[in-house]
Amino acid sequence: MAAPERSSRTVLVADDDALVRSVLRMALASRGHTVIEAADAPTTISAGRTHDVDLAILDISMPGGDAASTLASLRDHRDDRPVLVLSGAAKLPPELAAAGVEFARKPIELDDFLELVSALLADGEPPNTATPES
Amino acid sequence: MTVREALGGPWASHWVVWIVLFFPTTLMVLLREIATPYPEWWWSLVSAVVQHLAVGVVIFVGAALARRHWPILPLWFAFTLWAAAAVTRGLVGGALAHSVAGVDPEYLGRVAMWLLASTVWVPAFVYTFAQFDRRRLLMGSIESTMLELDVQRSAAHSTGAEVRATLSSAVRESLGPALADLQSSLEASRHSLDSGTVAELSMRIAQVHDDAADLLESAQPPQHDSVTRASVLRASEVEPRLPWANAGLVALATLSLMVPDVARVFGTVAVVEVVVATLCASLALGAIPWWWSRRPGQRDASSRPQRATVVAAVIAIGIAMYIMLNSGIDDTTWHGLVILPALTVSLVLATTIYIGAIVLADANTEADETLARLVSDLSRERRENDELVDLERQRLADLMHGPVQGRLAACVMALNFHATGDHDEDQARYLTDSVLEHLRAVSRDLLTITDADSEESSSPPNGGAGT
Repeated sequence: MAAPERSSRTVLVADDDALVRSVLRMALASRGHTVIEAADAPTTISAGRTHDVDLAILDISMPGGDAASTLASLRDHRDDRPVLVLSGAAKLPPELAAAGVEFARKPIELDDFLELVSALLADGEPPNTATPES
Repeated sequence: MTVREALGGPWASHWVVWIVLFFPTTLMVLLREIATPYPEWWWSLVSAVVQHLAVGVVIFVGAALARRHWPILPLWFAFTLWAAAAVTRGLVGGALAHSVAGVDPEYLGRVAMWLLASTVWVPAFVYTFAQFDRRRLLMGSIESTMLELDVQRSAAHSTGAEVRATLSSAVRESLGPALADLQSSLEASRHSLDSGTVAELSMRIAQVHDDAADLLESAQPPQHDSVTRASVLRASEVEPRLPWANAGLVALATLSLMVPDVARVFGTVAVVEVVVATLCASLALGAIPWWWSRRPGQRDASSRPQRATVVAAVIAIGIAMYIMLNSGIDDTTWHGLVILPALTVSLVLATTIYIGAIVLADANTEADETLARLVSDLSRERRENDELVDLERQRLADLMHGPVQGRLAACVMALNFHATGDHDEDQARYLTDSVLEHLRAVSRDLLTITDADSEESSSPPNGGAGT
């Protein structure tokens, strides 16, 4: 795994699987990022409003609301932060694709994941816009 | 099937037609050569064989050369080819009579008679054979389409169950054992996991994850697709149509074949006898199917329509036989005996060929419409079944994605992280325990999904991870 980054950023990880949240938290923490976890849609929206989140990582299917409306609520509060949708689905649903979010498919190699996160947190575009496959 | 397709297709020069025509043409040659003073009786037979062989060479070579340019022969070429065969037959017959019996070859007369016979008979022969072959193919297609339609209709009630059964079977045979193996591997080495072992376990779980996705794609009900020709008997089951037109054509064809030779060999009185016998036989050929088609209940499925034609043909031949032997029109009885075989064969062939030409063409048009309707029904049925299968697969996919694939994906990611070594002991223990718990949950949920075959609307298992 690559060396920790210098700047600490706040990342919101929203997934209903505790193991996925834990793995992502550990991986992001190893890069020095602060991680806020959410297990359902309302918690995600609430966390997005109460924390100064630099990047939101969303699962498509979560209890309490669909990904599109969760994303819309997050964007209502702040529409400039990047969003990464991490899902087991083969491709991004059209309503999310139209929202201009980044997409990666689970299971993703953690190096690929961290590289994608770094790119999204940086000012520029991600290095590879193609959908990473497991 | 167009007239050109029928007359210019493979049957225009088919060996079956050539073989079938050998018997009647030989009878005609034997009748014709009665007046030729061959030194032995079998020279007439030799003449018939040689003529037929020569005709075969003309037809097969001519057609083979022409088909290099036209897969379907143009009508003008087909008629020219058959005319060339008739001319060849007349020339060969005349040359043999002249060289062996020393008589006038009568080329013009022989060629003219064979041209008349060829024009009246060969197109009808070829057309009927082509229509009959087409009918066999159509009936075969209809039968197989109906069979497939029945399969699809019954499948409409079972496709969902078949998809689930396939999935259950695959889960029992591959996914389940693979998961059990993974669990036991992980449990056995959980306290001494090195990064290599973890990476290997991660790869194995990733494989199971992919297999789970493939299962839904492979869970398809079986497909059936085959077309064969119907049996000759089945293809012959057609309703008699236009009986009087058939009878008229049979009379015309028979007279065109018999009259020139009978006049040449036996004289005018014998011709009158042949004409009377043919017309009376043709009346029977028209009247009996006409009566059959008008009798009550004739459209009953158990009423085989071709029986009317067979009965009519038998009665017609009986009438012709009686007139030729007992009418007294021609006092010389042996004339009738000699003419009778050729007349009988001519009547039978004409009945078969002209009835076939008219009836089969009409029947094939109807069969074409029936087949088109069945194919349309089949396409709709297949589409609806495909939609049912897609719905069932979607339902199973919804059940599989979170509880199974989602958890497996989480396991792969957790073990990948474990393999990096960027963790402390508590984290490693947590990851291992969580992966084991996930694998157990996946096995449990797989059983729940596959055991719920009879519950169409079963809800997703609890505790599933999202996708």
